[in-house]
Amino acid sequence: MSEFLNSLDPRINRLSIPVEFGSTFPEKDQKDQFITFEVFVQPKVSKAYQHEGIVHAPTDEMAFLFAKEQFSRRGMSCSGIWVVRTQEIQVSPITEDGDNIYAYINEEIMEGATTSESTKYQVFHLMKRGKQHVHVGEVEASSPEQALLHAKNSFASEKPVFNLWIVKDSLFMKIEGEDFQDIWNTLPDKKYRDAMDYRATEKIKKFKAEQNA
Amino acid sequence: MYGGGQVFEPSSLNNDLLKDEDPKKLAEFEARIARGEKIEPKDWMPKLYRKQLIRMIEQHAHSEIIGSLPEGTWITRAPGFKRKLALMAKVQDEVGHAQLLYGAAETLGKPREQMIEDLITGKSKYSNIFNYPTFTWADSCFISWLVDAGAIVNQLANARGSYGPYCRALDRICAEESFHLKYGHHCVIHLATGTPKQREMMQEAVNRWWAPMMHFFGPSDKISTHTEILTKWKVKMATNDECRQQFLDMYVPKIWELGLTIPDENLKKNEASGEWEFTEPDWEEFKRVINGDGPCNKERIAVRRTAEERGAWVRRALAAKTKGEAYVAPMA
Repeated sequence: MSEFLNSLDPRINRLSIPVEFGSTFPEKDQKDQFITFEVFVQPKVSKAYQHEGIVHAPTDEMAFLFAKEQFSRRGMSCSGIWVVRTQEIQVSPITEDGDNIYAYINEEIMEGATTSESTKYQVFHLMKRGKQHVHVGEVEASSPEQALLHAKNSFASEKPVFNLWIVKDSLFMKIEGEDFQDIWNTLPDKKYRDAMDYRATEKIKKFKAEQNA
Repeated sequence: MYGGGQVFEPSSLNNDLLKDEDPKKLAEFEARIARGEKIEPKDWMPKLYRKQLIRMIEQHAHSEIIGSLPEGTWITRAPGFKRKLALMAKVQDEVGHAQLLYGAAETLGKPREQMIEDLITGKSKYSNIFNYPTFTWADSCFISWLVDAGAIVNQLANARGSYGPYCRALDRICAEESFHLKYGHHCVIHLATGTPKQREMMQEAVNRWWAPMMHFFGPSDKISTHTEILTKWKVKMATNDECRQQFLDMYVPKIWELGLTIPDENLKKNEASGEWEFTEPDWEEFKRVINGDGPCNKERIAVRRTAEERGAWVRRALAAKTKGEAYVAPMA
C-alpha cells in the first residue's frame, strides 16, 4: 500500500501527498492572510471607473495583477484599473428611504477635522442599492471632510446619492493611459472564451437527419 | 459556475437566533426586502440572515474551488489545442468565481482565511457532486455541460436574492457562464455524434453521472418555518425540487436528441401535471458521501490542504511587505 495519495490525476500523483492529509488539519501558528484592496475598472475610455470588487494581495503591484486577472480577463475591452487598500476608503453612512446623503453634509462636519496640505480626492457615488459605486470626479481639499463639502458643491444633484466614498488620489495605484493599453489589446482575440465560438445547431440537425434516414 | 443547489445546514442553526432581534429593526429590514431593495454590508440585518448567507455563499465558493479539480485534471489530456485552451479558460473562470464569492462572503464579516480553513478541516461543505472522479474525457464534458447547467438554474434564481454583494458577484459569474454551457454542449455533441467508440464513452459518462446529478439539487425541502423565513428574506429563492424540475425540463430533451439514454427507466414527463417523474434518488448514498465517504472526498481536501500548506512560505515572505497592516473586511 502506497503512503501517498493515489489519484486518477497524474499531476496530483506527482505532488506526493501523504495519505493522512485528507483527514486531519493542524492548527496554524499564525494568520497569513493578505490585506484586501478595492478594485475599480474603466471598461472604455469614454466610461466612468466603477467599483468591481476586491482582491487579497501583499502589495499594490500584486493587487493590480490579481485585479487584472479577476476583473479584466473577460469582456472585449478595458482601458484602466485603479486599486487602493480597503482601509483607505472613507465611507459615508448609507441613507434610508431615498434620502440624499448630500443633504446631511454641511459646514458642521468640518468641526474637529484635521486639515493638512491641500490634495486631490476621488469621489464615488452609489446611486442605487444593489449596484456598484461609480466614479464621478475629483476635488481638491485639505481634509476628507472638506472633500465631502466640495463634492457636494461639484456633484450633488436632484438624484439622490445613497452612499459616498472618498479616497485620497495619491493612495491609488493606477494603471491607465496609452502606455498601458497593450495590456488589454488582445482581449478581443480570445474567441475561444466566447459562447459564439461554439455553435453546434447544424451538427445536431445533421445528426438527427441521419438518425431518421 | 459550479455552485450546488443544496446548502448543507447543521442542526444547530435554527430560529432561536431570531428570538432576541429588535422587532422594529426587523420590521424595517423585512419591509426593505419586500420593496425589492437590496441589503448592503453596513445595513442592519438579523443574525440568522447573516449566518445563513455566510454559509450559503461560502459553500458556493468552496464548490467553485473544489469543482475545478475534477475538470482541471483533464487540461493536460484534453483532445487537441483548442479544447485545452477552452478548458483552461473555463477552469480559470471557476477559480475566479470562487474569489468573487469569498469576497462577497467576507463583507458579512468572515475572513477568507477562516473560510479556507473550514473547508480544509471539513467544517464547511461544498457541492457533493465533486466527490466523484472523472475517469475519462467524457466525464469532464458531462461536468462542463450538465453540472454547469444545473448550477446555472440555481444561480439565476439566487441572483434575484436580497444581498447586494452576492447578487453583484452572481451577475458577473452568470455573464461568464454562457461560454461554459456552450463549450460543454459542444464537447458532448462532438462525442455523441462521433465514432461508435466516442458515443460509447459519452454514454458511459452519462450513466456514471446521472445519480450524482439528481443528488445535486438536494432532497425535497422540508417545509419548515425556517425555510419560510429564508424565502421571505429572499435568501432562498427556489426549492430544491423546483430547481431539479427546471433542470430536467430544460436538459433531458437535449440529452435525448443526441441519441443518448438516461439510466432511469421511470424518467418521463407527466404531460398532465407538467412535472417530471423519476426514480427517487438514493438519499442514503447522498448522506454517506456528504459525510466523507465518497470516492474522492479525501483527495479533494488533501489537494487543497497541500496547496495551502506548501504555499504558506510564499505568503509569509510576501506578507512581510504589509506587516502591521490589519485586515479589514472588504466594502462591497
